Amino acid sequence: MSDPLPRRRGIIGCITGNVWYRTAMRPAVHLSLAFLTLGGFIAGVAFWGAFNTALEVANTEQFCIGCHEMRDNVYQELQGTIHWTNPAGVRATCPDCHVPHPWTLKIARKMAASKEIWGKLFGIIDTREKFLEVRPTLAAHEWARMEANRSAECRNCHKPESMNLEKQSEQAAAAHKAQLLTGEKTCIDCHKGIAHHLPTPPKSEQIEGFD
Amino acid sequence: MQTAAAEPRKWREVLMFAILSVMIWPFIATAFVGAYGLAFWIYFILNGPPGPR
Repeated sequence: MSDPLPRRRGIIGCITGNVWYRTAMRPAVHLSLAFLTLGGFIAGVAFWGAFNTALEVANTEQFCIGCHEMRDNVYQELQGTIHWTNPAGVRATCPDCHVPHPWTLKIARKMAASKEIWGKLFGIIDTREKFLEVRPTLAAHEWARMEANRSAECRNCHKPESMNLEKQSEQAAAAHKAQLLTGEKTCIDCHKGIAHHLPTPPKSEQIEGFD
Repeated sequence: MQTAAAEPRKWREVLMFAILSVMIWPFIATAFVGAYGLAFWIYFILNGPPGPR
């Protein structure tokens, strides 16, 4: 029988000559094709399930407020707003508004969260004072995101076409008719600071991107 | 030393199968998804947040 993996010299040879590498890269001798495909199939199903479960766990409010930065600041402010408690008993959790729902955008957001891990490790906003200092910047990021996607996360629940303008106040109905239903504006253009406090200009001059 | 055409032992083949299916491929798959997300994140940093949907 001829060797399916010719031996090489040098650094590559060190890897390809390794007995484990050679075992992995040549056709199986003792394991049948049926066993290998079944094993791959089962491992694939298990991986898919585990991956999605992990993704869902990382998309819960409990996960978000696992860091005191979130629990002590923005989470406290959410309580008492209409998105926390209301007559219908339907409420929004952190990821409902702050994590995009389409898969690709969600994964991109999860990777962007590596910056939040960085912030956690180095204590970027580990005190109330530090948080208030960067709050205008953080708010500006989120507003820019929602303005760009035309309040996509709001519209996961709130459908302009399902609004009963007659049940709204005269002022609200007029504003929605003139600006929302014409497509001129979306939720975030007017409804800033509805789930968290609005930023107050910090003592320092750090107000770039704040409009 | 192993000869050129020596067959791997059965235990080594089974163990390598286990390592590949529960560690190496899942790691590579996760890394691919991560790289995919990272690519979009970088794209959004350069070109602004994603548009209407």
